[in-house]
Amino acid sequence: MHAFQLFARRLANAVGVFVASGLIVSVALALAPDTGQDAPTISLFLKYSRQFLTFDFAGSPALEVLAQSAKLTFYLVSAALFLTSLIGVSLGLAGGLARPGSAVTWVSRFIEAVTAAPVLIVALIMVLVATSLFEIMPEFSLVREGALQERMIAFLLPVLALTFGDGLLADIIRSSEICARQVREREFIRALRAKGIPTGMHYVRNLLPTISALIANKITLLFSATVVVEYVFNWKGLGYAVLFALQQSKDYELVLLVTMLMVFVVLATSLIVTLISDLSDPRVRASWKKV
Amino acid sequence: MATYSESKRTGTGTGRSRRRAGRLRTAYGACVVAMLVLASILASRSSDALEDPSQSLHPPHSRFLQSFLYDPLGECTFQPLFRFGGDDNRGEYALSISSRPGLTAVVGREYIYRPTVIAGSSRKDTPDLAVADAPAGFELSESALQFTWTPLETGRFCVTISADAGSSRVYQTFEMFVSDKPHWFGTDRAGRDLLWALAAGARWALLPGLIMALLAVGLGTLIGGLGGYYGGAINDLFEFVTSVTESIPGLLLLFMVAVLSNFNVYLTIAALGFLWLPRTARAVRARVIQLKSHDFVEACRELGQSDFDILWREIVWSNERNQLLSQFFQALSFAIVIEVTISYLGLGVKLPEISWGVILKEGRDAAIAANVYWIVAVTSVAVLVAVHGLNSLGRGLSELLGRETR
Amino acid sequence: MSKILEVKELRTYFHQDGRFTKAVDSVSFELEKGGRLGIAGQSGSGKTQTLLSIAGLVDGRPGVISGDIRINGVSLLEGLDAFIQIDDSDEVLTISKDERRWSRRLNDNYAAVRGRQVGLIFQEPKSALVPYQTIERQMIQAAEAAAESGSGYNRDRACGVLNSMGFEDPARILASYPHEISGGESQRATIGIVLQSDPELLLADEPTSSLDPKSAAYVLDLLDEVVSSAMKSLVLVTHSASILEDMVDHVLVMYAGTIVESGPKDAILKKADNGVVHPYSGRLVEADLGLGSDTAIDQIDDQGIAGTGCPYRRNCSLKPRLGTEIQSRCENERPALVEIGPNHKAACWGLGEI
Repeated sequence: MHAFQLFARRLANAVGVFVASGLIVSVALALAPDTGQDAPTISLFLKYSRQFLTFDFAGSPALEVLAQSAKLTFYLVSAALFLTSLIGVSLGLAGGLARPGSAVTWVSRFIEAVTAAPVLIVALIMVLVATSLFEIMPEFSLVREGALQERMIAFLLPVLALTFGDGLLADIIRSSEICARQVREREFIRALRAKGIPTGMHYVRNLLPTISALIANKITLLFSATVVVEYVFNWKGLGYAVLFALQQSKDYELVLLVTMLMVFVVLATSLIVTLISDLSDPRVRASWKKV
Repeated sequence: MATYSESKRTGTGTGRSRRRAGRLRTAYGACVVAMLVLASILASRSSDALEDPSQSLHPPHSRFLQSFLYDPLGECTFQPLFRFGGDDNRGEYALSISSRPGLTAVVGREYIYRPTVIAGSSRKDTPDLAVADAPAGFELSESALQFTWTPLETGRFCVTISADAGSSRVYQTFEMFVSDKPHWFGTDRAGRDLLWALAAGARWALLPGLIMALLAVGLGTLIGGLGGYYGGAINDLFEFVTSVTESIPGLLLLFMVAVLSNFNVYLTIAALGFLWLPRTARAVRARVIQLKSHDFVEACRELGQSDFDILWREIVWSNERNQLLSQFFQALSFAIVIEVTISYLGLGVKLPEISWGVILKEGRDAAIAANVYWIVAVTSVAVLVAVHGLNSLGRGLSELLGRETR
Repeated sequence: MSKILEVKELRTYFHQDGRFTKAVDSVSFELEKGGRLGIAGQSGSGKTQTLLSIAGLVDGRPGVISGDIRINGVSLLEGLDAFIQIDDSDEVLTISKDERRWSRRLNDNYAAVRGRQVGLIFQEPKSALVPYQTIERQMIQAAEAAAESGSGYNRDRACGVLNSMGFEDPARILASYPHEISGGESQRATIGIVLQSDPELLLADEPTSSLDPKSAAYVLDLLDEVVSSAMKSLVLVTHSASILEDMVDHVLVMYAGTIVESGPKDAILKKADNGVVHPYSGRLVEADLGLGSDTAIDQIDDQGIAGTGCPYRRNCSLKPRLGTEIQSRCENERPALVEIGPNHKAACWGLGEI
């Protein structure tokens, strides 16, 4: 089958999933109590559906809140992803290639054990440690006037919590290790070594598609963890906004908006990663060119 | 340095060491689970639900825990564990009290504190101790080397003692927390004993999780088995539904369910079961597809076994049961984490019901307001141990039951 | 005539699940300059691992543990025994290895050899090429790695090499990716890449097993011509008797990691020495030429048994015909290589007595 056909099918699937999830969320929110509006459920459902399908949120305060929060969440998530990939890939590569009993293996196992802890607990422990050890104010709101050091730590802590909680790091380490070992067994790596050609870049190059796919797969979990971390550290991003809306302000339109935004990011990431992986493999690229 | 060795005589393989690891893990996990179950049963029996505001926020009775879990702000202070920057008073002849007093006492029992006074860098053998400010009954013993007190009522009391060396004098101020029985892990803001609260919360940790795990693994096996065996449209539908549920961040979905169900924790955790379902279903489906085409299936069919029998007995039960067990326990531990999370976020168990998440929530407030850390610390450890124990049990059992592929 | 390759008591062990697998168990042989050696045996007999050990590509656990490999008289395993300790008692065999230093020393030893004096040709040509680089890119990399200074790759020279590999349009090949050319073409391209740096010794591991008969014949002819015209030396691993017949002068037969027979090809393939040949080699030749029955092939699939006796004792057709005293030797003592003809040795207690 042509790569293009495959991609078109994936795209269609993604759109379908997007619409379906939007409908489900709309149903859920329409059924929610205490909206303060007396409209019957069905009309609420229709209203929500129309809103997310046409992206027509004008007239609600949701959009303004969104921009600012989205920026904060974006910083948090991208920093965490960056850190996770960096640590994960390095440790995984080193571990996969290392000899048995070397120090790297111990470090990897230790980190895997640590990241098996639930993100909430990790975050809380970090708060504890920060407050007791460093005497930092436990209110981690992003104070604009605060000293640079404080702001940096205020940013660093949630990023660390997000990196080390809930096992995304563990998955990347393990995946990189397996990948590294597999690549090492490949015939062309042996052939290169037989000729004395350095093989480092080939490891990275073969690792990237797997790791990107893994991340694209697990990005939903990352978003879930982000919500928790934002709440714990008072980081006023999208997750915090959603929780606030659910607990207090009952602004369900906002919840709809944020959820659909996250779904969109998840689906888009998955598609983009697949596209890039395909294009970087000359065999698949050739099949694309045939279209 | 890597070492490889082979025993020539007995030809030991890995089987043995793996079994041992499996046994250890199962034992550890089983202990944890047993403790949890026992704790929740005991807690529901006893009537220690009493909130006693006079015993609010007492630190743990254990001196070890006290030393690094308590550092209050306010008038009554004492030496924190970590201090950046030196102690300014360590001059040649300056006095200091280097010991830490115990902070808790029980009504009717004698409390003894023997301070260590240091002059410069050496002990002062005969300090002149005195009580500067203390509740009634707190007094210097006859030997004049220690303080004794037998408290008569519960509550919080400020104590200041002094040590004198003629030219200089040093004070030590601390708080005494008196309760009617020893609180090994301290108390929360309402005066509830933390150990009891944890035991009571264990119920919330286990029960909804049990339902969820049964749902997830049971339904998952059903769907996966049927889908793998018969294939077709059911499968595709299932795949699509799974994609949808996997694209929405799970926690957000759960939040919505929580709000919808008016914070009914059982429903919410049950909903979690539906989110976990695809994992089991996929694994079972893959296995069924793999085994479907094996010869022994044909043989069974010729023997007259029905499709139902073949699918469940031969394929699933014989070959997959250890994996299913492991998944079951993983689901259980995940349920605990989710329960704690949503209760912490205020969308799950709410006061006056007690669950670990509620304890954490209160504990966090206490930590910020009163610099009180043991609630969060101890509860976190409890959660970690429970999760780890359940996971270990799952893995241990699956290792013990081995890989019985035909 | 000096020797281009000398292998002495090479041992390569792998450790898994608490046991050692003796992939190469005390293998020794020599190759003269310009000579052609064939190594025959079934899969798992250790022939590929022997080749990889010679090329310095074995870094498994523990990998090459003892012995000597000399290319052009230079010892390549020099200094490595400082980093390995072998404790072989009656009850336990323990090998301790300082992996990091051992690997570093090995790479130092092989630095001058890799890609320059030794060329390695693999079994699956498409797998041996980097799938996402053009042939030209791979030739450039190989040339630059082999060059000691400056020059490295020269496009005209590369086209010339490809021409001599039978490619009429070398430019097309240079610009292609491995998946765009056929199996036979990629194997010829691989050989071309290897020959760019003009190695003296060629190690080929079943270079034609994955090719169709026509391409296989073509590649073998090519190899034959390259080796004879440039006076190169060849070690060819294969399990096909007909290839041995066409391509080599001397044959080693391996079974369960050891050499069970070593002799001129006619002695082994055609039993030219009065029909005396190791029982295993006889079976192997029969099975390959299709003269043996299926059971013959099934029976020789047993990869030998552990213990101290002859590894082939279970399936040996000669053993039942020997006297009880010799039979008990087969059971308990590993047979040494004994002369059974001119330049022809076999490891068999039964043959030694004849």
